[in-house]
Amino acid sequence: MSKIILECKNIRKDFRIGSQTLTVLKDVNLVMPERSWLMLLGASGSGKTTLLNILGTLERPDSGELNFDGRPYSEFNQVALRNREIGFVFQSYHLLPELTVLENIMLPAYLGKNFSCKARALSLAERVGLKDRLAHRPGELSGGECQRAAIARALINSPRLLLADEPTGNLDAATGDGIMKLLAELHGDKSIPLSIIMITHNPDLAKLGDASCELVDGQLRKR
Amino acid sequence: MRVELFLARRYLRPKRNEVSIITLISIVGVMLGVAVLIVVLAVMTGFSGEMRNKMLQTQPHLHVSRDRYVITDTEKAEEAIRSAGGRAARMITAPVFIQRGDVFEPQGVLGIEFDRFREEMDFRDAIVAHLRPDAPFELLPGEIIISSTLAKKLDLRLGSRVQVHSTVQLADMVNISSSGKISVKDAKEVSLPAEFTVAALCHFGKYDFDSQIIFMDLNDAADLFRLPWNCASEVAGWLNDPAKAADAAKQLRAALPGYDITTWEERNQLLISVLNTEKQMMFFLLVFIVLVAAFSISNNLITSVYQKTREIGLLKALGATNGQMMRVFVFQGLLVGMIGTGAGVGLGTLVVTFRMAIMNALAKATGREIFPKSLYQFDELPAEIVGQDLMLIVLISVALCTVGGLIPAWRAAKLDPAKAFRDE
Repeated sequence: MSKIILECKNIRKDFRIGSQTLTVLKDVNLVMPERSWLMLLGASGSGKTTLLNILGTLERPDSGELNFDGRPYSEFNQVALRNREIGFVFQSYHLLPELTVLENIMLPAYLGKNFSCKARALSLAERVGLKDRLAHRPGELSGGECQRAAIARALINSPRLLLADEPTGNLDAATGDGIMKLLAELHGDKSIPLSIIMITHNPDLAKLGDASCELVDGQLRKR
Repeated sequence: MRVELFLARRYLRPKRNEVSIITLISIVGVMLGVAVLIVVLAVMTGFSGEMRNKMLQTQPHLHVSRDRYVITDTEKAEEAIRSAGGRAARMITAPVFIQRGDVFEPQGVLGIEFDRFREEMDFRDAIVAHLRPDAPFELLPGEIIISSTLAKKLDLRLGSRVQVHSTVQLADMVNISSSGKISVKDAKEVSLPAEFTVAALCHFGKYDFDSQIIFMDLNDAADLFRLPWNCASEVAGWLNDPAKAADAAKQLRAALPGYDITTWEERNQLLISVLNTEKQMMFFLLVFIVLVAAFSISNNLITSVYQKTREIGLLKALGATNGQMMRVFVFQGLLVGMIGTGAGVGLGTLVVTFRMAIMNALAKATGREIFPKSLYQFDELPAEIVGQDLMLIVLISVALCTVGGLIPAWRAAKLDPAKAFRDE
């Protein structure tokens, strides 16, 4: 039986808008084995990004239990957890425009005070096909190249969990396919014990994962 | 610190070869504030220093006198000054009127022992012309030294003869009764003015002194004021270090009871304290320029934090700590402060160095004299950059700019990454 990398029990999240309370997540339960790839679907506003933010320690749930690698989140230093164990890939890439591709890739390592990460950054850049674009800035890259750089950045600290929020949402079909192929390759690489949770609206892409769930009425439903 | 400094530098220079216009405006603000502080304080220091030098060049460091009486036993006072480590000389000071035709000019007379005063008052440099150019100048009986300013005013030249009316002689000719009635004392006894030859023209560069003092031999002054020869109204003293005048005065007061002992600092106390206070006030007021520049940095960085909300959120999502985010923006304030202060020091130093050229150009452009000699008493705008002032300016400027980065840094540190992405 494979190890459980992520476990959520009864996660609830409310947002207060003026005097009203909007319940986005209620009673979300999830068990994710290591090296698995979960596709997360749901209508706009269903709470997919909020759930991803909670799993990535960017937001706190109002109630519920969260475990990473068998230990409660509260036992971890939250900043260190998202720097070393969790990688983020966003729909809008979110690369820093002031930095080159190489600097963007190395940024999480630098933030974690690892300054000897250049070799790994170069290797990742080569792997995502950006070897010749290292000195370019994000403004000089195509959307697909930006997302490839964002994926390399997410993997620089060798995280065990990759949270991808619609990584192909801003890309054309062909480029999106290329990104999915890259993610599938990385996930399939036995040398990287990588688990992925990916938000998508595309049911066809959802088939590429090991499992898929849909967020409906604040609860996860297996598809 | 490495990554924070790296990000701070990149944020200040978002494009490869260009500093952002916001950064440039902040740097220029700090630069101008620091430059103005340096220039104003340098001029204040130079002005104070020049005033001090002129005071010391035209005044003895110590004055020994007796209230209402002349000093006849000058040897005792001279010996006391020598014992206090000084050099002594006798002098007579009193007011006179100079007559040139129908023109009368009130002046002060300094009756001096020229041999002794020559070195102490730096007559070698001050005398611009004299009657015997082939030999070092000596002041002979019947001769006077006047300033070139006075010579010009009264149309006097070397060798001109002038009449000098002593106020003592004038006072002797009239009688003022207890009721205030003025009458001639003795119509048969009329005192004639003494006649002197202008033997030298001097220029000490201190307008009030140059235009109000004439020098003559000590015994000529004694005759003019009907005093015995070799007496003095004051015995003057000079020290190797004028700053030690107060200590020497203390010694003299103990050695010469009944005498009035004053130092050059006491005689110019008001002016010295005004100059010192003025400099401190100027420093205090001008620091506000740097404070405004620091506010500008703060303002620009706050704008930057709002513009970079998404990026700050991302950095925190990637594992940046609150402390790291804070330091990124504090370092931006520090860097702008350091660059602006450095540029300000350079600009301020340049302006101080080329102040006369700048003033001449301004005078030419505006048609007005920027630094009127008659008003300020100096030939050129004095200025001196003091290392201690410079260090203080640099420290205050960099500290204020760094503090200016604190508010935006705090805002960046407190930013909720999830909210940053939601608000995008």
